[in-house]
Amino acid sequence: MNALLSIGLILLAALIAGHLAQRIRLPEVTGYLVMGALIGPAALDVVTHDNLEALQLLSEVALGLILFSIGTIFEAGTFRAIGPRVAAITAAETAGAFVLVVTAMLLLGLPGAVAVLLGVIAMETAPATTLMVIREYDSSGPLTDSLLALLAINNMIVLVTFGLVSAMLMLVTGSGASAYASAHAIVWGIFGSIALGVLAGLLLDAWARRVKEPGELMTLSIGTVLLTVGAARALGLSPLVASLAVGATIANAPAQTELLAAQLRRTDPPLYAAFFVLAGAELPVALLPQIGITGLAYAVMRSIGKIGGTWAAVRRMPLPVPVRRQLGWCLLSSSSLAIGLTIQVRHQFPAIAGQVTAVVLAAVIVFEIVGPILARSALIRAGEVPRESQPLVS
Amino acid sequence: MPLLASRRTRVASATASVAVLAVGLALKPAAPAAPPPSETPAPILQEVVDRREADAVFRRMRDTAPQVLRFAARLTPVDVPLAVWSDWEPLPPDTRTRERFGVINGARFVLGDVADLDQGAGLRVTLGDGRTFEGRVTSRFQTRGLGTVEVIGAPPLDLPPATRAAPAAGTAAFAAAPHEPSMVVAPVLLAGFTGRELLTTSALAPLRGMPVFTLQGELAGIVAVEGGRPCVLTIGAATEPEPVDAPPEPRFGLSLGLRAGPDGNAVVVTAVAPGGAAARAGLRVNDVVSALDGVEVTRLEDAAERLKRADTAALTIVRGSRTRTIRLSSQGRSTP
Repeated sequence: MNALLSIGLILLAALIAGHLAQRIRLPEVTGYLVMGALIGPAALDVVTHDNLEALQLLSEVALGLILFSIGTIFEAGTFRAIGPRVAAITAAETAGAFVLVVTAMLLLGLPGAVAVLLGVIAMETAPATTLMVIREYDSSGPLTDSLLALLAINNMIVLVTFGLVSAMLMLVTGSGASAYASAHAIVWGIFGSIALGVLAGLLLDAWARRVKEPGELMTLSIGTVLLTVGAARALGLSPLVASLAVGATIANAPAQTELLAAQLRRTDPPLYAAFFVLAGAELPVALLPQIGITGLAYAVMRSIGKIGGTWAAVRRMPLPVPVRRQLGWCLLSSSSLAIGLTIQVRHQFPAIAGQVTAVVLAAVIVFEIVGPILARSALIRAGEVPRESQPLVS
Repeated sequence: MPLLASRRTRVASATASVAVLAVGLALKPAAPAAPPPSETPAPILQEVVDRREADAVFRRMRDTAPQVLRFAARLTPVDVPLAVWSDWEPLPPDTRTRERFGVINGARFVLGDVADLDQGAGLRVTLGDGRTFEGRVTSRFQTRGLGTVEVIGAPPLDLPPATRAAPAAGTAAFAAAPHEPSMVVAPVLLAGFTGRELLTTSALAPLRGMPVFTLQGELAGIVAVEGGRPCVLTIGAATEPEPVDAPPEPRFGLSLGLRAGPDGNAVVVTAVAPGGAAARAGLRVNDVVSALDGVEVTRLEDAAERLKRADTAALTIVRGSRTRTIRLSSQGRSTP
């Protein structure tokens, strides 16, 4: 099947999946993922491996735009109010996941390097899936605000930690780059990406003032984000951090942030739907029966670490009780960044990549299905989903 | 007021961003030098190996070439005595399986990705032509991330010998593992006569245990790891399993171990305690123990177990071209 045929099929399949998901009171994103797994190479193979390769660009586009949206919450005033609190929560939940996963893996007899890499990857929370749930249910309130900021900081912490850990492991094993090269890679990856995103955001802001037509604004926004993602790849930077930085710059610039964001949101439905169906098609469902004790321990410890770490951080914070209770449950989705990091592990540590990949990918399947459902329930229980957006209760 | 409301702030931010990017690029370390070219002119691997074509080659090799194997691994608890595998036992129906790949090297050993299985773990191995046999992990190459599996059970399976010569230096090839979820093919360049060096021209590094095929569809070997870097062990390449030692047997004053020999692994005497029963009987280090009490010794663990339980032992040893039997008694032990 050629790429155009497959993308058309994906969009129509997403439409069906979304409707079916709503009927059985599941988040749309869960429907997209399951439909993707069904039509992907693991099951019906309607969308083949070759199609997935050809459509990789679409996934990157969607992820860049998603992260741009998340970045727009970094408005200075809002962030001054919630930043320290969110940073503390993120530090606690990532540390909780890391410590528990590493301990469990070591107790199960895995080598230290494998355990540490799994611990770092376990820290990740999927930004795209969680944002999708927030958008679908129009949630708003302190939990939602904290969650969005948490997602952004979480992913940055994971990227920095992974860079540090992989550099140290490569130094210890004596393979790969020198200490200087490793240090440069980490610093360049973070600060260079931020600088690129800020520059792109300022250029977007400058041009946007001269644009009147909403359609032109959309073209400008999408073009800028894609340019940023492409430039980040060419320069060896992180497209994720750069896209976040573009969004953050726009949020703090005087141009028409709301209009820009609103125009971009008009592209959401087809782009996000295609993105999640593709993500579902790429899920290695065949690995699920082989998850084994290691995968189960990883999944359980990650969940306990995140929920427990969050609870430990928020219990004395001046937040409404439902928010304190529900925040941890919103952090369990895991997907694109985790998969991206396993690909990095394959490049840098081929000897142990198999063990890391098998565990992470099997767990991703579980968390991508379960995560959005738990996040939706948590948002509803916290009272941040308007009644008309809630799934109908019989 | 937005943080970047003033023009001055925006200009300063843009300038700082450009400066960070410029400095970062200027300080970027140089890429490592390319490996020296091999003596034989190497064909340049220009084309990206078509994944479908690689898939087809791999499947054809897997389905028809006996040397490409699929392992179904039973995850054996460590405390299960190894003796249980001396009898032909079909694996229970609930055996967990995970597909892995390996190649045959010689008539006795198969090399595969078994590094995460316990020594002595039982395997069911399926050959490319569909024949199955029971195998057991006998040793692991820690430095290469592979392991050897010895064939057990009855009747002994006639494994095809390694017949292919190692590919020439500079042979273009690819490593394939269609079972991997998001990676199938990594184009590689073999360098060196034994194929030890593996240069990958793909952004995706080949994984340990992946079979390596030439572009003509010949199986070249299997990806191993040495010094943290992928290399390839070609079929027919010499394999030196890491030495394995049994606990010392102080009653007889000797230690046994598993060492590589010309005909494969052999149980040898690795230490003789001065003044002990073994020393007085004339045993020496590196004597090959071919039989114990008339029973052929094929496994170190069996020999060690028998010695532990016996008060006397008759060791048939091979030293050079001579074979002799030496009797030991545990009552004449000397103090260490």
